[in-house]
Order: sequence, then C-alpha cells, then structure tokens
Amino acid sequence: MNDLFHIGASGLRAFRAALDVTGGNVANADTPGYTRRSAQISALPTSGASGLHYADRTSGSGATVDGILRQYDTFLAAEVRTGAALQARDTAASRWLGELESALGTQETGLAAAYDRFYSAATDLAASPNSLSARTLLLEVSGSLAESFGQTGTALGALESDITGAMKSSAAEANTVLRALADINDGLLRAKAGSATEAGLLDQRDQFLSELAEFVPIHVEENSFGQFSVRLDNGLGQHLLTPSHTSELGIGKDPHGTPTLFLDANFAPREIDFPASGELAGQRQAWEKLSQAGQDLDKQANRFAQVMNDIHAEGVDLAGERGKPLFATDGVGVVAQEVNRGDVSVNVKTDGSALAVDGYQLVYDSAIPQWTLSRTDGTAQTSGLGMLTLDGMQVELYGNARNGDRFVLTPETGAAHMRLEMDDPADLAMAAAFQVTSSSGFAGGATLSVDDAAALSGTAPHRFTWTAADEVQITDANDVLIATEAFVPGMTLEGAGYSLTVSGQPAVGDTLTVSATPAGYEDNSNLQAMLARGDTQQEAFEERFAQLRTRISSSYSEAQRRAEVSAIVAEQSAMGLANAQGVNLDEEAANLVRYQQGYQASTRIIAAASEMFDSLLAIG
Amino acid sequence: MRIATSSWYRHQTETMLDKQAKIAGLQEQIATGRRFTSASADPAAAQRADTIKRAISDNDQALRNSASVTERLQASGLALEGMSDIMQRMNELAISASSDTLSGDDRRTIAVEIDQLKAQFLQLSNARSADGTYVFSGGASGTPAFAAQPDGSVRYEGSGKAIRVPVGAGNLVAAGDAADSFLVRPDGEGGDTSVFDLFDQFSGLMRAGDPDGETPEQRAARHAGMEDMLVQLKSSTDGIFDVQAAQGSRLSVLESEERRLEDMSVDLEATRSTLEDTDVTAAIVDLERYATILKAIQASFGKVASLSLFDRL
Repeated sequence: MNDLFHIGASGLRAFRAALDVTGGNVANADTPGYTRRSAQISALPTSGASGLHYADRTSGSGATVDGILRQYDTFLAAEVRTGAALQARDTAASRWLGELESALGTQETGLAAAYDRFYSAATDLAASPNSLSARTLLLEVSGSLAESFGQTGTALGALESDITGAMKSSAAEANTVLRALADINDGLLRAKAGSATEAGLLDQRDQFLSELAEFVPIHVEENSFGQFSVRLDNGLGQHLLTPSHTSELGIGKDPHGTPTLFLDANFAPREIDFPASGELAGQRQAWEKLSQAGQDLDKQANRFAQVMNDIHAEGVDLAGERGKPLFATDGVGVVAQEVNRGDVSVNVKTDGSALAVDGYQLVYDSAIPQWTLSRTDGTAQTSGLGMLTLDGMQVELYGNARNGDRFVLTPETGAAHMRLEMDDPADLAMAAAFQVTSSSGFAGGATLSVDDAAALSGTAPHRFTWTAADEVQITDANDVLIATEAFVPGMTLEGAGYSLTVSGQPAVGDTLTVSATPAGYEDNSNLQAMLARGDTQQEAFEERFAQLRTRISSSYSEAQRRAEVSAIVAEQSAMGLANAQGVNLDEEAANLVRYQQGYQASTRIIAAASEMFDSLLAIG
Repeated sequence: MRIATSSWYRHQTETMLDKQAKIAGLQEQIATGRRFTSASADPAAAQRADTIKRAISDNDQALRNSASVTERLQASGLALEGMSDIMQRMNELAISASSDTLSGDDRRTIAVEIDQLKAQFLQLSNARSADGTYVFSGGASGTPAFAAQPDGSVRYEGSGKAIRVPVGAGNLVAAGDAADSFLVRPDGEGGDTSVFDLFDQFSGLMRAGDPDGETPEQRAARHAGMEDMLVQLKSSTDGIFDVQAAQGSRLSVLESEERRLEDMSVDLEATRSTLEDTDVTAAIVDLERYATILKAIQASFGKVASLSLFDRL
C-alpha cells in the first residue's frame, strides 16, 4: 500500500510537471525564438527497500521527471542561418543598387535630361548662330548640364561613403551579437543540463545565432560541456567565437579607398576576404558597382569637357576671337583621416593655378593652436586658422578641431567638380576660325583644319592660285608672292594657323582665298563640329551615360530578383524550423486534456490506496 | 505535417500582405499610367523607351530648325518675288523706251520710275528675316547686303555663304543665298558689277538726250543701249528665277522632311507607349483577380482561425 501511495504520488508529480510544461508552451505560443518543450518522463525502477518477495512481480515504483526537453532541430536551424545570410546579402545589395539607380536619374530627370536639353539648345543655335537669345539659352543649359554632372558625381560620392558607413554599423551590430553570444556561452557552462535555465539560454543562443548569420555566414559547433563555437562559413573557417575568445569584426579602407574586412579587430587585426553571403557581402557587392559607376561617370565628365573645350578653342566667338574653355572638371578631393576626433569640415576653392601632383596634407596642432597645410612632398607649407592659402588654393575650415586631426587633399578631376567656365553668350565660339572662298567654278574640294602651322608670312588673307596643274602660287593681301608650291591632288598645304587639304584637280587660274573669320560673321561650322563629335561611335556622350544607367538598372533588377528568391528560400526554411519547434495550440490542448486525465487518475490511485488501507484497518 | 500556431498566423498575414502589395502596385500603374516608375522594373523596355524618347526629342528639334530655315527661305522668297516683279517692269519700260516716238517728258518720267524701282530693289535686296538677319548677305548676315555709296552707286557688302542648318538625319539645308551668287558678277575688268548698275545705266540713257528733242546720235545710242539692256535684264531675271526655283525646291524638301519627321514621331510615340504605358484593361483584370483572391483568403482565414480545440474544453 505504501508503494501504491508512492506510485500515485510520483504520477501526480510527473503529470503536474507535464501540465506545467504545457502551460509554458501555451504561454509562449507567440514568443519569437521559443522552442517547444516537453517533459521527459521515465518509469522508476523498483526500489529495493520495499521487500524482496515482491521484486519480480511489481512493475516498478512509479514515474519520474528526468528533465525538460527542447524540440530542437540542429539541421533545420543551420539551414535557416544559411538562408538568412543569403537573404541579408541580396537585400542589402538590392537596397544600395536601388539608391544608385535613383542617383543616376531617369531620361526625364537629372543628367540624361540635361544632356538632351544641351543638344537641343545647341542644335537650335545652329539655325541662328548669332542670335543672342539662342546663345544665352545654350549657355544656360550648358550650366545646368555641368550642374547635373556635379550633382550626380556628388551623389555617387555620398553614396560611397554611406555604404562604407553602413558596413561599419553592420560590423558593430555583429560585434554586439558576438558579445551577447559570449555571455550566453559563459551561462551555459554553469547551467544544469536539462534545466529550464539551460533551455532558456539555448533559445537565446539560437536567436542570436540567427541574427549573427544576417551579417556573416556562420557555422556552429557544440562541445561536450554544452558550450559552442562559431566559425565563419567561408571555406577557411576562422573562429569568430570560442568559449575563451571573441574575435570582433572591423571595417577599414585600403589605399585606393576600397573597404576591407578585419577579423579580431580589437586584439590582433588581420585582413580577410569578404565572405560570400551576409549583409556585409551584399554591401561590398553594391560598393563595387557604385565605385565602377563613379569612375565611369568621372571619365565621361572629363572626356566631354575636354572634347568640347578642344573644339570650342578651334572656333571664333562673336568678336572674332578664339574660343575660351567652356567646361572645367578639376578640383581637390578631401579625405578625412579615420581617427579624426574633431568635427571639422573642409571647403576648398582653386583658382586654376597648377597644384602639386602629390597633393597636400592638412594637420591640426592644438598646442599653438593652428592648422598646417603642406605639400605632400614637403616643398612648401603654410599655417593658420580659419582660412589657408597655398598654390592658389583656398582652404576654409569650419567646426571644432582636436589635436592631430588630419586631412589629405588630392588634386583630381571628375563629375563632382564639373562647372561652366563662361558667362557671356557672345563668347561662345560657334564660327569656324577661317573662311575659305573659292573662285567660281573651282574644280576641287578644300578642307581646312585649324592647327599651329606657320608656313606663310605676309599679310592675311592669303590667296592660293593654280598657275599650272601641278603648281600653286601663294600671295598675300598685298599681292606679294609668298611661296610657290608643287601640287598633287589630295595634298595638304600648310598655311598660317591652318592647313588646307585640296582634293581633285583645280584648273589653271582657279583660286582659293583663306581669311580669318571677321567679328559677327554668321557661321555655325564650329558648333556643328561640336555636335558631330557627340554623335560619333566613340564619343556618343549621351549614349554612354544612357548605357551606364541601363547597366545599373539591370544590376538592380537582377539584385531585386535574387533578393525575392532568397527571401522565399529563407522564409521556407524559417517556416520549416518554426513548424518543427514552434507551439501548436491544438496539440497543447490535447496534451492538456491527456495530462489532466492522468493527474485525476493518479489521485484515484492514491484514493484506492487509502481505501485499501482503511479496509485493512476494518479487519482489525 | 505539423504546423506551429504562430507560424500559421504569420504565413496567413504575409499571404494577405503580399496580395495587398500586388493590388497597390496595380493601382499605382493605373493611377500614373506608367507600367513602371523605375527602369529596374524592366531594364530592356526602359532602355528602348529612353532611346525612343531621345529620338522624339531629336525629331522635335529638327522640326524647330526646319521651321527656322523655312522662315528665312520664305522671307527671301518674298523679296525674290518682288525683285522679279521689278525686273518685269524694267523689261516693259525698256521695250517702251526703245520706241522711236518718245518725248523728253516721257524719257524723264521713265527715268524717275527707274530711280524709284532702284530704291525699291535696294530695299528688297536688304530684306531681313524674322530673326533680324539680312537674307542675302551670306555669312555677313548682320550687315545689309547692299549699301548706297556717296557717289550714288550701290555696292555688295555681304560675304561668304549663308549658314547651312542641320534639319535632322544629318541633312544640312542652306538657309539662304548670298546676293553675290545672282545679283553680282565680274565686270571683266577685275571688278564687280551688280544689278544696280543696270538701273543707273538705264536712267542714264533716259537722261542723256536733250529734253526738247534728241539728236539722231542720241537716239541711236538709246536704241543700242535698250537692246543691250533687254539682254542684260533677261540674264538678271533668269538669275533671280534660278534662285527662286532652288529655294522652292529646298522648301518642298523641308516640307516633306517635316511630314516624315512628324509621322516618325507618331510611330515612335506609339512604340514608347506600348513599352512604358499601363495596359489599363489588363491591369484592371489583374486587379479584380487579386481582389478576389484576397477576399477568399480573408474569408478562409476567419473560418480556420475560429477552429480551436480550447473552445471545446
């Protein structure tokens, strides 16, 4: 009877424990990261003290609760982490490429639209090259084209530093998670195996591991003391976390400005390759595309400015003077040193003087206090506060400086620095520098190209007269004979500031007169040369920018598609894990009924034992 | 398959959110009229649409230049018509001035008319287009083509050729003709002579005879002069006709080019629309479809969510 009491009581305890677990499961039905528990119950063997003669006939002395079991699936959890790392990579890449796409604008906005307006206004001007209003319009759209280049270039530069900043905060967040995991590892060493404390810690561990996997792909190993280690899942498998050491992540920059990833950033930093998945990988991918786009845009800006300036310089303006530069793309790039503690912003203006190729350093000394701006090669320097001037470069400083704050200033060219150099519409050199007049019936063709030829003396304009099929006489404005040249069709005759290529065979007596274009002469030849250069295969400026936009849009579209797919994969494996280890309320309700009935049955066992005892007493 | 209660709820929520997002996307397509707002939604179509937009913009530009050239050519066309009318009148006067019976008064009347005609002709040859350029001055379009000199003669002061204007597809059309190509010719003595010298010659001959009666020599000179005058007038008139014809054919080329550009823009716009614009019918059908699905999900969600074993305990 004593045994039956014991058995009944052990049943009460076991079912009570199972009901508690069920209650806990129901309470946590919606708790993120909660793994369904079950009470592990086993039969108690017969206790020796109850008497030997019963030993082989009883079925044991009841039930006992061994511990709380987590319904944990290691394989599914690893799959969820892999999925999360891929999704984080694709989402990050897609997000930044989206930013890049909008920075480049559409056909109707930004640089593409500015190009369109520029070519429209230039072609409009070709129909009336001396019209001041058409010239003013072209100058205005040239200004907004330069401005669009500047805005786009600046936006790409800002995005580049935004991505680097995002990488740094990703690394910092990953480090926070790593430190939390290290704490959990310590807790696990002390927690009793099978205890609710251990189960709680393991829930937290799995939750944090999933978070960590969003930054870098990881591989988790458990050791025999219930603790765990985390490795990078990148083929080399460097440890991020062991029970004794936490290796934090760091983001740096190589000399070319490319972001780099460091391991063990606090103790013994060593550079490693970016892993293939995780948010950091996605940010790195987007950075690569962004950097390429920035370089491409800079090339386009420089090329456009150079070609336009070159052709413009070959023509003459309304005053009959040679064209001055239209666009400029030179400037100074300012890079703050990573460790600067102050909040100083630097503004640089140049006056077009030659800058030192190796660049400049700007360092603050709080002892004096003063800023020192020096050429990197050490050949010149200047010191002061507020504003410094060196090599025609004005450096303005705003904000609070701290000792040792340092900036590197590098002369550079590119879209961000693009600007219009002209403000008078009459200065647009739309006319060719020389006009060629041929005698009526001139049998041949003449093409003039502007250069620095100086073959002819005397007073311009010069007249080329064919005195024989194979002889040209050149006379000046005063009919003084300057030179006599042998002639063959297709040859180039050097002049004064120009060369004249004559095709075909002029007849004897035919003449060509080359004169400098007078002021106010209506001619659109130079403008047409400017327009034509933008039309050729190599220099299709508008087309090249369109290609850049299409390339980025395609990359973004591809990234979006990948992000969608990896989101579905991640969602499926997360769902699989949630279904395997999450709480189902119907199941818990069924368990509740089952355990309640078991509990009630156990009370009946005790009642039965009591009745049996009473019966025995009644005999006496 | 075992399903955790929380993940069932989450899955249901996400399915509904997904359908709602699709419905919102379709609504935006219908509201904006655009199939996509960012090129990445369909890079290939966006790239083609952008190329087409640039082509349409180029066409619009070419049409503007074409209109500008047409305007200049029409301005010079009107002047040329006036010139040929004057030539016609000169021809009539030269015929009547050849008559034997011509009194001194008649000759003076003719001389006065010739002087007036010359002034009119000068005005016509210095015609300007709406943008203020002198249409017959060639490249020196800022200065009048002809200017009266202190000695009363008229000299050509233009130079070079008129600008050639791009009017699309690499076509260049000359926006005018310099007067030196048809009103001025070499005089055979190293200098130039212009149509204005004809006027002076004519009026000189009319004023040469004695007012009260010509001598036989004077009459003979007038006859010979008028014969020569008729020949020279014909060649000058032919020169004007040639330029009129050349400009007329340029104008008709421009006109047909304009029609081609306009037709092309219509076609391009249609292609752009199929690439970029929302197919409203298809979008509304899709919208209905997703709305039906969403309703079904919502209804079934309510049914299934109300099934709980706890309710039966």
